[in-house]
Amino acid sequence: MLQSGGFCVLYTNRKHRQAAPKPKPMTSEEFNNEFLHLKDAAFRYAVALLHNYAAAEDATQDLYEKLWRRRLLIRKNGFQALVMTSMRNLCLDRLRHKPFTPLENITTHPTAPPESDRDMADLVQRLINDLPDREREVIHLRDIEEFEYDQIATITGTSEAAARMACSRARNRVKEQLVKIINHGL
Amino acid sequence: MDYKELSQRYLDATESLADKKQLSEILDNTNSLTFEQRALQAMQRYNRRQTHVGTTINTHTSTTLRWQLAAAAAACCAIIIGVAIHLSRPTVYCYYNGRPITSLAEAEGHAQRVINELCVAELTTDEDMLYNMFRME
Repeated sequence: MLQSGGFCVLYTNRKHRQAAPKPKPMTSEEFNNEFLHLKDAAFRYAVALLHNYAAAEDATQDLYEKLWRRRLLIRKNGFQALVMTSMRNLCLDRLRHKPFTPLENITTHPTAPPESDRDMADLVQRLINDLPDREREVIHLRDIEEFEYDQIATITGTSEAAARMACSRARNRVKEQLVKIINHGL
Repeated sequence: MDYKELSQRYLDATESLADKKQLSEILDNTNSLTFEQRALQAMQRYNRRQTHVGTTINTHTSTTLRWQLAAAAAACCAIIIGVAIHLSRPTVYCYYNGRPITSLAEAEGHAQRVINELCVAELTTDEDMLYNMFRME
């Protein structure tokens, strides 16, 4: 009786699996379209992780070369998350082997309260770059790339609650620092 | 939703993308900003500015490969057609009055007719034939 019940469950599971529509693999044309749509986001994410434009460009190129070779195995669904997760892994791997020299414009420290929009933007960038890695990553994915928190959790390998927590902490930290600088200067 | 609620949601990371856009619009349309509002506005402007940063990397589809594939496909087709023509060509069993005979039955019929037409009287024995062959004039 138990065995037949078990068989029934297995049978219905298999039936259910067969009924689910299987996403098609990506063609070259689809890959090109998705690539054009995502390449800047992937590049910006690489810059945020590596702190170096040239290295970020290399990483983007290498990632897409790898993905291009496997384009017939890649499914169209979830391509965005796949690209960002792969980019993250690639960048972390590179950072482990060779730390890059930081960007030039984040080494400038303003001594007076910022006046122009450009000064403010540079200041925000510096403050974001001073954040811990996880917080910087999350704030970048949410505020610049506008990913949903569940997608961020998938990309960074954490839970949605942890992603929200990191983002909140990062925003509060940047805001407090900014208020302090606007009010008093450094 | 007012500024206070939107900014609180933003700082607690419980906002939606629509809330973020609305907060950004409110901050841009407010004339006299507090320090906190200026800070949030700077963050929003920085985010907007960053979305314009991009890479020059582009996709390039090689046309050479397409031509190579087309040439290889054409060569394969030519070989297949050649082999098919060669295999479908009929077997010539014999020639009768200069005409090729491709039917086995017809060839056999012609051969039989030629044998029947031979004059039996003209045939000699083996000894006569050998004698005629090696006869010294």
